[in-house]
This record gives sequence, structure tokens and C-alpha cells, in this order.
Amino acid sequence: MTTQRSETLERVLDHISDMRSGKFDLRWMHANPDGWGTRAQPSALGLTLSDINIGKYGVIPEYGSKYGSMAPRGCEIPPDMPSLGTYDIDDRGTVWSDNCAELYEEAIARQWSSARDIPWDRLQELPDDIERAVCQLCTQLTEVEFIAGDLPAKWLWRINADFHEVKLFLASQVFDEARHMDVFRKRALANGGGLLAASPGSEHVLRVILEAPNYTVASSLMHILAEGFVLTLFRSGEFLAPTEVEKKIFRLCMQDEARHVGYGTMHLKRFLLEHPERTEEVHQILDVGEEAMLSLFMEPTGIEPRLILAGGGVDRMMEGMMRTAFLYQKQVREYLHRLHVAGLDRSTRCRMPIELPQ
Amino acid sequence: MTTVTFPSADWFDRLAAAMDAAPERYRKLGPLDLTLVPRIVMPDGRVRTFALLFQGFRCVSVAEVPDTSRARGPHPVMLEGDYDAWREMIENIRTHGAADLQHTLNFLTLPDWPLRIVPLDDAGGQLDADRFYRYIESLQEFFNEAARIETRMAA
Repeated sequence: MTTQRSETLERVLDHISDMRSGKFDLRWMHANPDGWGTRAQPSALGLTLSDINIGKYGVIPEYGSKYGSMAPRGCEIPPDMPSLGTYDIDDRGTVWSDNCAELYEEAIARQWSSARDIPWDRLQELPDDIERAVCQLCTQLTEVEFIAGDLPAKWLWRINADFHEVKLFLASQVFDEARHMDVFRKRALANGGGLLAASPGSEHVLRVILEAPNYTVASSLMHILAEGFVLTLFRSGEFLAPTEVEKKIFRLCMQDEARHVGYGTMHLKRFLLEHPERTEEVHQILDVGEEAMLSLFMEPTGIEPRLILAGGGVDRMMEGMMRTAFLYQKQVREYLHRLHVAGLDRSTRCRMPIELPQ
Repeated sequence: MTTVTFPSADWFDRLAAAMDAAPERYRKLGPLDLTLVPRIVMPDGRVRTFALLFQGFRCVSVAEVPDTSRARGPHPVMLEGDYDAWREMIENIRTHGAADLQHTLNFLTLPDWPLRIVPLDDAGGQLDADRFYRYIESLQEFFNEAARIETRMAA
């Protein structure tokens, strides 16, 4: 019984036959003549993405390739290149940030391992209330951290290949968040405690982020608002850490989170420069996000463990309130300052009070 | 190893030399792009200001400057505090070989006291301050080099 050969198979077999008789195509050897002869030079950090952004390869188009393909920026694209119809986020202003190449290289250079780089052998037995507070904090962070992986992953595959620096940076962020999820889970399970309670409030906030209507407003919510708050949370985690183990975890996570915030700030800046007419759109999503964030901040499963750690025990939570109130102010102040750098003034519109009521 | 006085450009130079002597350790921690401006308020009210330029895996220059406006370099961020706070941090590092839980850079700066971080360039603003957090492991390692530097405290 013979199987009917498809057109594709026929073409392949013809091609093999041509090659056997010494007929090769070789037209590709002379493609893209104005892109040939490029000799990128490594900088002090090695050969970085910025170093290879030279000549035609370094031109970041206002709109990504109309071909909607995976063709790399700067190559020759044959006229019969098919569009995959998927890479439809192709407006530079909606994804680009001037620091994304730098942040990607930094992310790759600053990778760490939760298995090897945390001094797990230095865990100490802690008072029961402190261990429970650490474990609840880790439960919450395990719950919320990977939203910052899910969200970029939701949009990443649609970003045009001409903005490969953005795609690479977001891929590094997905991996950063994977590590955060795993390290907090490991800490919760490593010292005689375990995971405690998940938070319905967290789920509401995360839903606002996940369901944001487009990438730019999603990024404003996640990279600047949420990750900015989490950055301060990581700083306070390091501050309150009862042992070297938590100290190291929070310092390493802090570095990662600050990169994500850096991307978000510069991305919003670029977006507002190229699309000032859409400023109100960002304001409106932040109106919603700020209220959700405030609500999340005050969830008992989130705030109470921090009060215990800040005060030094469950019987000293009132003392912890003063320190925590200060940190909250710092979070809001830094958030507004980042928006200011991006070109968005929310000083009179912010839905979160600058100070918590006494 | 000769003794150097804190604060002085020589003292910070020693930290920079120690960083240079351990390229693999700092390469593993990751690159920096920051001008750190330590500002030390002495007990008599005088102020000593330094500019440390971090590029790649090195501290490429150290200079004492008359004031923060003269600190040249990209992404300038001031690390400011009273001399006593600096002295306590350095002595703690020397005693323990590295900062203990209550003397890390983050611990000392988070409440804005006894040390605080202030971005010096309006355009960079908080984005520059955030670099301090992006590089916190490298910067902590840099200051931990003080453990191996014979230091005479100025006051």
C-alpha cells in the first residue's frame, strides 16, 4: 500500500534530489547586504544587547514588523513571509522602555539559586509566634509573587519580535518570579512550620491586575504599583528578618524586584511620551488598583504577621504598628515619586492616603 | 597592611582595591552602574562627602568632593548619616567579619535613620534610588570589605 505524498513532501524530496545532483540554492548567502560586515565590540560587561544594537540592527521601529512573524529585527524578510497573526502588540510606545536591554543583562548576571545561595544550614528555631508570622508572610508571598510571572506571560507572546529586548526582559522576570515563589515556599516548609492561610483579598487584587484590558495599563498596575509596594515589603522583610536566612532571601528578591520596577517606570515614561492622549486611561486603572492595593495591605493575613515581626512578638504588635505605618508612608511616597519620574502626577488623585489614620 | 583613617578617600580606595582583588566574587554578584555618594556628618558639624563611581564589576574611581553637587557620575545616590552611625557600622563589620543582622545597609537605611538614601539627580529621582536596591548584594559586599581594613576612626 502506498501513501499519497503531500505537496510539502514532494517539494522536500525534489530539493534533496537537487542537492544530490549538486544544485544548491545559496541565495541566502547574499541576503541583507546592508546588514553584512557588522562587527559589534564587547563592552566592559561582555558583549551585551546594547553593544550589538548598531547600524540597522539598533533601530527600534515605531511600529514592529508588519509581517507579524518571528523574523529577527534587521534581517532580510522575503516577500512571501507568512504572518502568524499573533504578534499584534506592535506599537513601540505600548511596550518599550529605554532600560530594558540593560535590565535584561543585569537580570541574567544576577541570577541566583534558592537551593544553593541561601544559607539554609543557619536556620534557627524561633519563638512560635515569630515562626508563625514568618510562615504566614511566606504563604502570602508564595501566593502573590507568581502573578508577576503570569501577567507578563499572558502578554509576552503577543509582543512583536522587533521588540526582542522587551520580550527577553519579561522572560527574565517570569523566571525571577518563579524563584520568588519557590524560595518563600521553601522557607515556610524548612523550619518546623508550614504554609498557613491564603488570602481572599489578595485574589481580588490579583484579579484586577490579571484582567487589565491592555498591556500598558497592566504593566502600570503590576510593575509600578504592585511591585513597587512589594519592593518596600522585601526591604522591610530584610529589616525584620530574624535570621541570616530570611535576610539573604529578602536581599536577593529585593534586587530582582527593583529591576521590574525600573522597567515599569521607564515603560510608563515612554508610553506617556508617545501616547499623551491615553494618560487618563492609566489614571483610571490606577484609581482601581490603588484601592485594591490598600485593601490588600490591610488584610489580616498580610498586615498582622508584619506587626508581629516589627514589634518582636504577638504581645507587642502595637509597637509594630508605628514602624509599619512609617513603612506604609514610604511605600506610597516612593510609588508617587516613581510615577513622577515617569511623567504622571497623582499627588492629588492617589486613592491611598499618604498617612494611615492614627 | 597600613592603617587608614575613616573617613577619607584613602579608606574608600582600600575598599575599591579589595573589590578589584576579588573580580570573580563581584562578577558573580552582577554589574553595577551607580555613583554612590557617602556623606558623613562629623561630630563637630563638618561634613565629609565622597563620590564612588561603580561601573561594571569595579569601583572605578573614588574622590572626596566639597559637596554633593560636585559629585560627578551617572545615577548619583547619596548615602548620608552621622559619623557615629558610620562608625558603628564599620566597627560592627570589623567585629563580625560582615555586617550582622542590625547593621546591613538595608537595615540602616530603610527607616531613613541612622542612614538614608537620597537620589541627587532630579531626572533620575526614585529610579536612581532604586538602583541602590538593585545592587544591594554588591554594595553590601563592598562595605563588608571593611572587615579586612585596618581602620583608624577620625573621631
